[in-house]
Amino acid sequence: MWGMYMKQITSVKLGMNKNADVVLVADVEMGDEEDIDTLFLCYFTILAEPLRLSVLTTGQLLEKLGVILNRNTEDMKQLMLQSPHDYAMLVQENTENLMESGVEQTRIMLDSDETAKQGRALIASILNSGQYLQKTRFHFADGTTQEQEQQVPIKGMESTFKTMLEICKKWNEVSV
Amino acid sequence: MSESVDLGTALLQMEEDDTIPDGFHMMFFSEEFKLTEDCPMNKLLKMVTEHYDCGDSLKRQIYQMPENRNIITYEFAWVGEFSKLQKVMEDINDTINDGLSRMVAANDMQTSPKRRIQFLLIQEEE
Repeated sequence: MWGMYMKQITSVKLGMNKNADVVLVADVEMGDEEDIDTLFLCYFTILAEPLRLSVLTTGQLLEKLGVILNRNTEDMKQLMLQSPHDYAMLVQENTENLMESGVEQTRIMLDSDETAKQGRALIASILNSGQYLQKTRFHFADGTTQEQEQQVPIKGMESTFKTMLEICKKWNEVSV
Repeated sequence: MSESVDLGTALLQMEEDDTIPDGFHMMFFSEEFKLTEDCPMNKLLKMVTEHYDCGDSLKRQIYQMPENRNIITYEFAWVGEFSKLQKVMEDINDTINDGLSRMVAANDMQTSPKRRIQFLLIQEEE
């Protein structure tokens, strides 16, 4: 029998904890209690227009990967359970395709000194610590909730974050 | 069914087909990697990529799988002259294999990570 899988990422909020680490809190609406489609992709980026710092996510990866690879969701689930490395490899190979259905979950407008300063503080903190903290709350259809916490490294993406920081600093010089 | 050929033959075929790669991309997947600077795999790849002048491309990511399994990946890309590609690719591969064997022998890892190697074709912007 087919189970119910991840429905949607309902909200993503950005903040800072007392150690000045950036914390990203995501609420995810899941299917039934057997739903294991918990993996989702999350990206910081600058979008225009209007100019803004955004967080994009894409979830429901079992279903989306199945469509991309022309395989059914149940096949993808079996692959994920039996060979998680191969599944992760497929997600990585298809990241660009998967992000095409990315949803802008949160944004900081870069249209005033005040908001740009918020964006700057977040990106500077991520660059400084080399990571951010991701807290995910999975809400299942039976009313139960599971929480996961994970450090997300930005190793190798420093130059992208530095560019975002520069844009946050010079927001009023950027023409869109 | 695809036929597997050795690297030299594959590169020769690419040259004949005028699809010369600009470099290659290597990626490693394991639940045993760590998110710290002293992760043995991080140290090994840092040494390798710095030696081959591609340290800036070294990247680490995490995939949170079900049942609290975290798969950590390392990846890097080398871009350079076609005439050097085979030697660099083989040397890097050998160095990494030696390093991984040492890690397994030293119990830093139980098993060698899964890996993927791909040629890179850089598209020119119009």
